[in-house]
Amino acid sequence: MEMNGKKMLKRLLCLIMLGAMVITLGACSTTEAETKSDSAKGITVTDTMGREITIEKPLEKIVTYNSGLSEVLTSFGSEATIIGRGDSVPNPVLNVEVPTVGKWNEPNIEAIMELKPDAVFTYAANMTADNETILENAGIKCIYLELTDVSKSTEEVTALGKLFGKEDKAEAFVKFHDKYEAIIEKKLKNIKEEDRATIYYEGYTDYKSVNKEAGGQALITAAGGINIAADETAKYPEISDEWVLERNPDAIVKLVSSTKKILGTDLTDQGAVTSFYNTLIARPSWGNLQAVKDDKVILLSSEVATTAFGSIVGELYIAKTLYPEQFKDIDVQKVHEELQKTLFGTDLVGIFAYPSK
Amino acid sequence: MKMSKTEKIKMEKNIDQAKLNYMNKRSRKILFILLLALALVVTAVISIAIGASSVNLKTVIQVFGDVFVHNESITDMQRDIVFSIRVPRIITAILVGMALSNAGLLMQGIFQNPLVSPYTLGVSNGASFGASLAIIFGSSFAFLNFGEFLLPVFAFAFSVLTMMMVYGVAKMSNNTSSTLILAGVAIGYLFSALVSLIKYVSDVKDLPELVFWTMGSLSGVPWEGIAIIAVALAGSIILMMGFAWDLNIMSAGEETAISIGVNYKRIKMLSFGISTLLTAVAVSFTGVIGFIGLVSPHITKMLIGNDYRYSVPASSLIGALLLLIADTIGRNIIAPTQLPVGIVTSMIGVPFFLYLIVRKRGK
Repeated sequence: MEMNGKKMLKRLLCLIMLGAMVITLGACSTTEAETKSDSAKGITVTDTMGREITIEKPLEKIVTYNSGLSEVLTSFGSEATIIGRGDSVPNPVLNVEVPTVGKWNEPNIEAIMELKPDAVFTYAANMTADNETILENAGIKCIYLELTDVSKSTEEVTALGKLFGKEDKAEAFVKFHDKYEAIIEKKLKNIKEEDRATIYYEGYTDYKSVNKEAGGQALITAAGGINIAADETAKYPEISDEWVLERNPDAIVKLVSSTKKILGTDLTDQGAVTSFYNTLIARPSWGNLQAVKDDKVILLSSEVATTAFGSIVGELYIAKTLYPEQFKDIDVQKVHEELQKTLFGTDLVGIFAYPSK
Repeated sequence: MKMSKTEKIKMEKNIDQAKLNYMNKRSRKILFILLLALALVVTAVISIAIGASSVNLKTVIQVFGDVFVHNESITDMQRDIVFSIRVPRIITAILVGMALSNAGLLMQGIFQNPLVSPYTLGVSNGASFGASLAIIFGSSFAFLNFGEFLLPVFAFAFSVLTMMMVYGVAKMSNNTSSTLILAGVAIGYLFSALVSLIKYVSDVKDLPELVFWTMGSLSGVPWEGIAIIAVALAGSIILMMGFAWDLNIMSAGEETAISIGVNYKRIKMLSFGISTLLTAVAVSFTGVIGFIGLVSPHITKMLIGNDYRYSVPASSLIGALLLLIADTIGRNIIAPTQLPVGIVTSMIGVPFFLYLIVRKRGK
């Protein structure tokens, strides 16, 4: 009897869940219809995935799993809109503890729904279609403005400006960015194709480089360099040390992760940076590399090489390393300080590149 | 009962025959070991002659010749590719292959279990935990001033710690082989969970380095590291050869060994210590390289038998050969991109191993 009772209960639970699914699916189709009818009057932007996002009014409450976004919102003065964050997103507002809603790559749907935000910002790869439907049905927009492709940084920041009603702030960045991008382009015009410098670009891990599809390529291209590993099959190939020696690149760019505590905001220990640099150029036979002989080796903080705001500074650092003559009138450190003032109104503290240019 | 003269002659003949058979077998085994050594030399020559750069056999010969008679045509870069990149890497492959193979040989011998490898007792999990601490929280340990040796020191320390934990747990119970294996597997899982936890909470930027480490790499091992592996290996091989008879008797089982007068516990402890040391030292510098320690002792047994006097040198050579071949393929197959050696060892080792199993069973 007891067994039968348990079975009945199980069946009943299954039926309830089935019913819930049917209702959810039904709700899904109505929401889609509503969105379409509203699209005429709201704010419409295109996100990283190429989807059109339409909202009625600027976002006031959001959850973000993207720390890059939090930086942009801070510069907009919109950091208080963050009411929930992934574990890698720093607490945006002083003295107010914003709750964390799971790991950066695993959005916790229940926790998000409980906070009732207007929208949630995640990386598209970490949001399943089912979860997206559940959130959209609860009136929570899923927006993928990933800020990882530095070649799209101005478009994405502009889109964020619209979504948060801070078009003026976004425009200030775009203006700054475009001004220096134009300067780089103009100077690069003086350099013939055949005189373009080759670059060995190394990520955070020793001998891990990037091919033409990886993030680093955009930075190399913008700075007028030629990536020696562009045609490798793997996106982040482990490159042979002897091959690097034989290719003898004109310049070497090494990225340093902020977690190494060598380069980045608030890190000012010159000794640690110098020692890291000396270990790098002391690799077997690197003393014979043209790049090392010509002092065309640069360490870049991830903050200036991979972020939407910082990448223009990273481009300038690389370009000046490759073509010091052309860029001798540009003080990249000063440009970075100016960018910091423009975006955040604060002074720049930290070492972001070594040797500084 | 007295033996007749003819019977006596017959028996002496049999003994002579047995002696002859033994000598034949012995010389066949020695010949086999010499052939393996030759194969290793040939493989090393091939390996040093191919790579992602244009340095080929001719250049390598010129570079070596340049040491004795100065050759103008040799560039610094060519010299460095041979002496600072290929030679250390090939030596590392040979030494690590030998170390892991002997560690496996000892483990399988003392535990009488064909599934045991140097990693069964959780040594590699402990090492991975140490390595992940160094990779993810390295900046917090900067005060130790270990520099580039922080990672190997941590990996080594945690491998040894794992071994001590395993041994401690086994000692608290009845200290049989199966308790040791069970304790090892369990503690291995614990460290593996800790590694997962570190991966889970760490910054995405540091993950590739950790993942890369767990796939093994023979590149960039400093000469100091090579020297440490060489010393540990040489000491271990001398000890193993010295105790070869005891180890042979032990493979007949604990009871037989004790009845013959072997200090079973001492030899078991010694073997346990040696195999842990060999694994820990190798793994600390190269990351986790699986499979060699499991299969090369088996291949050795299939080809040459259980006598440690022969199986120690043979398994050393087979381990070295396997790892050197795997690494040479790994660094050339899609050059200049290098495939992690851990992947290649399994890709070429598994089919070869299965072939040997099928052939042996077929017979």
